[in-house]
Amino acid sequence: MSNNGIKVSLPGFDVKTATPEQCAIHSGYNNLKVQSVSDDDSPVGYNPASDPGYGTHNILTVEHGLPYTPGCLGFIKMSPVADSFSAPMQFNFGVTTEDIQAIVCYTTSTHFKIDYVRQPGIFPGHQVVGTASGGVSFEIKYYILVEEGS
Amino acid sequence: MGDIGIKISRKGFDLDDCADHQLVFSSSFPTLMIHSSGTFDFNGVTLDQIVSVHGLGYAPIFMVFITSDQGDGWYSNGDSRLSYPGNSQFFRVDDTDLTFFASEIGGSVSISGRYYIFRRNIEQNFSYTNVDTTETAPNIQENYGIKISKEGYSIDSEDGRDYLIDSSKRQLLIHTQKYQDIVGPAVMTTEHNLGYHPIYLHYIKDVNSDGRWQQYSNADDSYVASFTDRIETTVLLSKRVASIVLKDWGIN
Repeated sequence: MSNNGIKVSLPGFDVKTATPEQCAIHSGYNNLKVQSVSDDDSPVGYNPASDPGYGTHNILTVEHGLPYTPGCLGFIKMSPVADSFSAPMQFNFGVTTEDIQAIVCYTTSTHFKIDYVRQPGIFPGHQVVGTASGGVSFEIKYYILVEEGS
Repeated sequence: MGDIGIKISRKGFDLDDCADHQLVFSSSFPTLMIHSSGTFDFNGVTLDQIVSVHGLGYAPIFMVFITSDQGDGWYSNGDSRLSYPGNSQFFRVDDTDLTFFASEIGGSVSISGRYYIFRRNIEQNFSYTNVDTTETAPNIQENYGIKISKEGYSIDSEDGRDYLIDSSKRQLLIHTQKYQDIVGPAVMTTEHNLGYHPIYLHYIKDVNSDGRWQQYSNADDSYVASFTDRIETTVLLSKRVASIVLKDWGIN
């Protein structure tokens, strides 16, 4: 393979000498890309007000349509905590003083899924966002990636 | 350096008036450029296991997707329902390698996963410029666009994994990046001024006093909240923390 390619350097860096870290695009390296995103105007919502009890409760299952298991990211907004929006990954937070409640995002070879999980126990130091079971509702935004997640 | 650069809008959006997060990429914004990726299987392990030796000489941004011991899926960002009280499973990175740390009380851990290590130092500051947050609706009907396939792959491929750039696929663009030593309990504020809740990555260093970085939600020592103009990282102990704020929308 010949030494062909494309480099686009970031501001302030000479493209002829820029390292990959100093580039916005470097054809020697792939970038993380997004296959699909949940609707900006209607994020997935979930309100466990009816208290589904301990266990795993599926909130959303959608086909991703890819012939492999893609990576995914999930982001969550909790209400009524004003202007609070937690990070990706598993969301461990004590809604009661006894329980872990978590929103988890994952992919299988055919589907993207979001589960609500409630288990006994609490991680000390994790963000407590409510004081009673059912006191918090969730909105979830998800990203299904082009790159593989398995 | 003059005001020279290149940017490509996503398919359907007018480059002249679209918002930053509607771009495929811009030479003004770093991307999550993948240094290495691979899979791993650990069966019945405890304590430190090397996932990958990256050799970059700095602690890079990383992501890990792992299987769960309770479900059939692959979970985002190296976290899963493995993490229960009494268990500790962390993915951690330093200047040379990415490791999996398992210290389950009374047992061992078996997981499989895929990792991504990016060409971007966690301990790095990057200030945003040229913020354009005025979102426009897609209004370009013609089938214009750009695709650059990976070396050795056909430009006619229908597999999205074969492309470096495809203007029908958004890339995750870094808006701003900050790290700071916090004397806890205290809050680090990372201003972004995007006017919406952006998605972000967050890392904390030295939770186990060994100089390694791990993603925040595994740590008992910090938590993060996002606002329309800033990210707030609350750290209970005295630690170094880092936020990487992306251009992409979270939830309004």
